[in-house]
Amino acid sequence: MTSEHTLDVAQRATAIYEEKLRHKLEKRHLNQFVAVEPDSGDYFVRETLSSAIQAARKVYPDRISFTLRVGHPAAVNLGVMST
Amino acid sequence: MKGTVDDAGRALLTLAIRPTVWPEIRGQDVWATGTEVCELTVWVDTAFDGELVIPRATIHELSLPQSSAVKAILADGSDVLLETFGCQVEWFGIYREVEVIANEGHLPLLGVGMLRDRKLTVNYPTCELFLE
Repeated sequence: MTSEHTLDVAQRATAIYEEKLRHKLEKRHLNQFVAVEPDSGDYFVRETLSSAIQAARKVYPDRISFTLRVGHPAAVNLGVMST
Repeated sequence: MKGTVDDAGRALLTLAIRPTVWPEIRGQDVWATGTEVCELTVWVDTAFDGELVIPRATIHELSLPQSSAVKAILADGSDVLLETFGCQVEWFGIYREVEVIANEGHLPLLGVGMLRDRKLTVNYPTCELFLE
């Protein structure tokens, strides 16, 4: 279960990505990861999920980001659920 | 690194992980780390394209700090919002910062995001796994 705060961050960051970032990032950063911090609107593009998140956390240590993969419907694919 | 294959055919590795504690000072380069190291048995899952999934209960026990959230696509094609947490994983002798994804499962997963520069060999008759 995710928290209400996480859901709020995800929704606002997704709106920023769709409205302002998707078009330009898909031109030059396809397959890379982007962590979006919705309070500031800042975003951090890196090669890996971890490095994008860490870049956002370094600038905003007291905030969580929402991280997407450029050109993909989701950041990760979980082929099977662990049991 | 060496691991095993269990009776269910799952390729397993044991990793040492420890919490990351981020300093509340913007821009600081050095991450303070929790000193407590935990050994975790992970299932090598090549259907998972991320790095690490850890059950939420284990994340809570380790007091890992939340860092982000991601959308994940599951095996049935549905998508789900999952939270990520910061930790350090001992990987070939060096502690590496990894953002782990929390889920409601019981077994941690190691995905291809950790394996891209490595050679994985699984010997099912001898129940051995080698990662180099």
